[in-house]
Amino acid sequence: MPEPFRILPRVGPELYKTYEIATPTKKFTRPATCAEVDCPNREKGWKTVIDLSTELGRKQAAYIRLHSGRSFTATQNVDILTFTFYAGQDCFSEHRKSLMREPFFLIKGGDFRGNPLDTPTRRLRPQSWVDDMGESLESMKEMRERG
Amino acid sequence: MAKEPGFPFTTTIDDASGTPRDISNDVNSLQFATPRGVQDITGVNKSAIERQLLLADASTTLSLAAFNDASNMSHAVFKTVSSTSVNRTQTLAISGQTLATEMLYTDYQLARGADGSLTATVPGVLADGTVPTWS
Repeated sequence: MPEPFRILPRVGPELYKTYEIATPTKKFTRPATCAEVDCPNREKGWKTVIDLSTELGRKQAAYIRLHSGRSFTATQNVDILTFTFYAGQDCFSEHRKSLMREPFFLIKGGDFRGNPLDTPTRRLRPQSWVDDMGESLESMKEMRERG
Repeated sequence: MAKEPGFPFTTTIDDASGTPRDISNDVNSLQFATPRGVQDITGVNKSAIERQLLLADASTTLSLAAFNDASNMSHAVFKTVSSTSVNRTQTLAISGQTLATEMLYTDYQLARGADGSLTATVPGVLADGTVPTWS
């Protein structure tokens, strides 16, 4: 993935530290069914439109007809095949549900460009993280005011 | 991948018209880079580092877990990043404490993962030089 556009800092990453709140999807959520997340597709039904002129489309249509186990009606217009699925069935999306865990509150060395001093990452309790960040911002403010 | 709410911190960000929107459920991680305090620095030329630190600024990076085009959620807030140049208030709240920051977001980059997920990265910088404080 290319780097997003940023206004680059005027000094190197070694002069920064990064406060992060992280909730990585795999550790903080679990796979869930449509019913668990009130999926609108399950509630109201949905349409899946497939282009039969592509190999992927033909494979998708074969899967839906032969292996999906869902109830549907199908209409075809030249190469475009539209499946209409009835309500009350699980859709094809992968849903996730929160495990309600406390996020990771981390302090890392450097910034998005890297951590050239190899400062180890620290994991703190939320209040300690807020306090540390508060002191850091206060120090930044004082430096600015002093000139 | 849709994600259920429940994380005990909130992230509220202005949309292009200046209306705050709570997009906490879409935020996977929030990074806030600040200059290291002078007390953190050990070196022979401390005053030179202090001068450099004066030039340092704060920046933020939001990682969004999934594309969400629901009303007033992350896509509605950030889709105007490329077409507007307005400062927006980013408010982070943890256990009754808040950090309100005026940010200028510079990108809203969507990426399709190998697993089919559609995620986004939104970088920003401190907009007006005002250093935020927790309150």
